[in-house]
Amino acid sequence: MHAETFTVDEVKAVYLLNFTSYITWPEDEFSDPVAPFKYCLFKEGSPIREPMTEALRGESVGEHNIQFKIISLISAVKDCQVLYIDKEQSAHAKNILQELADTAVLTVSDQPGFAKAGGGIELYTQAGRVKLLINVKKVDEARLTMSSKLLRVAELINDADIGNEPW
Amino acid sequence: MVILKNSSIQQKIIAIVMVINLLIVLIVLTSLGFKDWQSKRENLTASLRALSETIGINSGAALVFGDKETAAEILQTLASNVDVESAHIFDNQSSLFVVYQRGTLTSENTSTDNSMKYLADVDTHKKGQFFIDDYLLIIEPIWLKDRLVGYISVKGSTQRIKNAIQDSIVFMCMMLLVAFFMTFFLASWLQKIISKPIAKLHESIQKVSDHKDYSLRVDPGGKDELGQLSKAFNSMIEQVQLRDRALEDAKNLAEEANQSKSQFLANMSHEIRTPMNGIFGMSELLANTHLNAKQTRYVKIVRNSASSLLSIINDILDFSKIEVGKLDLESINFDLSEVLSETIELFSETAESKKIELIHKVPSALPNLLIGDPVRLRQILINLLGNALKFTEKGKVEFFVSVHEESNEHAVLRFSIQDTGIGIAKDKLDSIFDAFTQADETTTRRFGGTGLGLAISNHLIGLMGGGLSVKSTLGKGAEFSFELPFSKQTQRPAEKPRKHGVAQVDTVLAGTHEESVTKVILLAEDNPVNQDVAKDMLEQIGHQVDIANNGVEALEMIQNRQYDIVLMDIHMPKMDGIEASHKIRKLEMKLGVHTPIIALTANAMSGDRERFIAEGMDGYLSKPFTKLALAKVLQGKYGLMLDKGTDVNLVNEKATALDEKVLVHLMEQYNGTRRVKLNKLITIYLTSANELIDRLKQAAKLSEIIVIGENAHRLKLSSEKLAALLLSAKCRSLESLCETGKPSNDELLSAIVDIEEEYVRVQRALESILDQPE
Repeated sequence: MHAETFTVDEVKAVYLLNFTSYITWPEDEFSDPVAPFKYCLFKEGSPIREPMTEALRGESVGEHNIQFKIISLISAVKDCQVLYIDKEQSAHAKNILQELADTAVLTVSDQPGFAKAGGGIELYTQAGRVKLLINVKKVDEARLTMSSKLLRVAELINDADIGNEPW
Repeated sequence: MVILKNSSIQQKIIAIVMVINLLIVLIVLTSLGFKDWQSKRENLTASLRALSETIGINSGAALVFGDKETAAEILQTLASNVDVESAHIFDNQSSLFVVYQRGTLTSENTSTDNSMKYLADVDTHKKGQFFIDDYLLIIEPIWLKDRLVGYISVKGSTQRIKNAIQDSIVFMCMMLLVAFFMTFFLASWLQKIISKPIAKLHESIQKVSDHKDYSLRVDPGGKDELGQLSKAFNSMIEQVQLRDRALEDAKNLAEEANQSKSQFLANMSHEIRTPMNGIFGMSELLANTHLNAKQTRYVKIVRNSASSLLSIINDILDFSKIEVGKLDLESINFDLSEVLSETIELFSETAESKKIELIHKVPSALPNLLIGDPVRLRQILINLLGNALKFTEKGKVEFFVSVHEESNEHAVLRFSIQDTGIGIAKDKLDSIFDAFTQADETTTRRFGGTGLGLAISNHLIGLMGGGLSVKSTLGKGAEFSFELPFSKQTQRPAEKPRKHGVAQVDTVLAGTHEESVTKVILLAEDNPVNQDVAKDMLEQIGHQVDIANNGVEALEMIQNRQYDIVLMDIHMPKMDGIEASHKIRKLEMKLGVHTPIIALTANAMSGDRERFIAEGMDGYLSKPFTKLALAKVLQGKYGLMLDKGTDVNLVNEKATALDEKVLVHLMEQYNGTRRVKLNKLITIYLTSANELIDRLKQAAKLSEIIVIGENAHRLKLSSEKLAALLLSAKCRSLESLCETGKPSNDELLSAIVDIEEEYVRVQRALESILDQPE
């Protein structure tokens, strides 16, 4: 083993994969037991695309093989289990979140203030490290079950903050 | 083991028990300790592993999401476990993620290399655990789903285990010590179960062997091996006891058998002597009847044969006495020169008739007055000289006596008899002293003899303190020699007037005068032949004889008539001689008289004389007896007639003053032309004896005891030479009277009168020889 230096995007891509270890999706979201587990990237042109492709290749969540897809239309975001919204696409974030209200889609973004704005998990960088900010309420509303282990390593935000986002 | 070899069984048992026990205790304690140590390690491993796993699971998220703070927090929970020294979490690239160090909490630490070192060895699918020095290193991969996301390493200290082990070693030693003492005391106590019966057994055995008491038995105790041993011992000593008893019985049987043998010999002696008495007596009586020359020769042969037979019987008796150790030697004063000359004279005739030169050399300085057993010495010399003459066909027989050693009190004399006879083969030399052995069987056929003579002589010499030795070359003769120690007689009488060899005078035996007072004699004897013999002899001497057939008759008869003397056979029916004597003595006690009782016995075993005297008798006469012996007894010479005395003579029955045997020799020695020499000798003797008796009388008046002794001695010697043995004996008793103590004048006078009276008889007898025609 030797230490390798990873880019921030690569780290983020691995984090995205790792979430599946600590978050459980309701089984009824899947049409059948072997239906693919969909990772979505909004949208094309995002620099994380390559690292994600790399990280998710050949992986699965339980019986569900992971499927990675890039979507550009907001209307298509519902058909995902995990949706990553690149910070370049912050303009669409609000729309997307509205679109996804009450859906079992975990939204992740590296856009600052994403969690406060009603996103699921916000990835932010502190001292060269990628950190987690989780909007617990939002995730609960999406009927996703988070492991306490995940909660323990993340920063959490309360209800009260929601809506106070400038955007 | 060598040390234990000589220690007691107790010590051995204790040692064995202790060694075994301590070994077991050591093994048990060691294995328990090892087990304890192992389980402690396992426990430590298990607990650390559990911790590692928990932390691995819990820290997975922190690792995955790079949350070092949380990871550190999680590691901090290890603080509750005192064994945990440090812990590290590495990511899947083996880069250190977070560190926990006891006491300090740092995110970066230098001491990561240890864990790093072992990371490579950890199989990601297995668990890694390493005991390094004083600590245990657990390395556990951290999985997220089936993805390796990192490692956790926990370093636990084994110090506590070590301390615990040290404690258990101390505890073990203490337990060992306790076990040592407990074992020692228990073993010392319990070994008695084994050692005590052994000690008891040993004690019993000791008792048996100390007291030689084989009737003792050991209490077997239990049924174990020791019980078996005790039983075996018991049966063994029972066997010993039985065998002892058997041996005792056998010994008693053997002793009884030996007793029977002795008794048998005594009986034989008696049984043989009784008919011998008849043969002797009757042939003696027959010889005095009118016989022609042929008849005289026959009678002589009968008597000679009887004489030989008797001497053989005497040899056998001597030998049987030797065998039972009953041959006792006398220790009396005697004159060696007498013994020597008598012996030589005995053989001079034989030597002459065989034309053999008989040479004897005796130094003049020979100590003659010695103390010892003259009869036995004579017997030895007669045997050796007899053999020498017997086995020599031609040549000479030399007899030497010399002084080997001499002091004031003692003398050791050397006797040597050499012949030029057939000699003895070298290989027979050793066995000739054995009983019943002659050099070879042809010798026996050629020369006769019982083969007992040498054995008896050898034994007698041994008894006297000497040793008989023999040198011989086959065909060239033999030399028998021996040395004997003697004590000298303390008082030395005057110089001996005696010369060896007798003046050669020819003479012819004449009848001697009978000097007799008729005595009334009671003869108690059951055997008719013996009755006849004794009655005839007594009547020939001129006595009256009454015969009692047994003790009862004798007792009756003595009450009816006054007897001068009683001749009492010992073995008689109804009442034996001893009982009869007893009763007679009882009877006489009341009357205040004492009739001399003379025992007649064929019972010639030693000690008889004392027994008869003790029974109240006055003397005894051994059967067969000669008329002379009988005559002497009747003259009151009981003591002289003891034992022996059965040589055959051709003497006139009236020659009581002169000894038949010596007289016969004289007559034979001086027969023919030499008769003149004998006459001369007698004349000289008669003259000197008269003189000596006058001197005795004179000296007695002056109480010159020494002079009396000297003259008595001279008369004794010269009288003896001419067969006047009674006179000689009287002189001897006078001589010893003078030598021992201070005799009263009366004693001396009566002795001298006695001598004079006897001399008168001797004189008459000798004169009758002088008067006799040639």
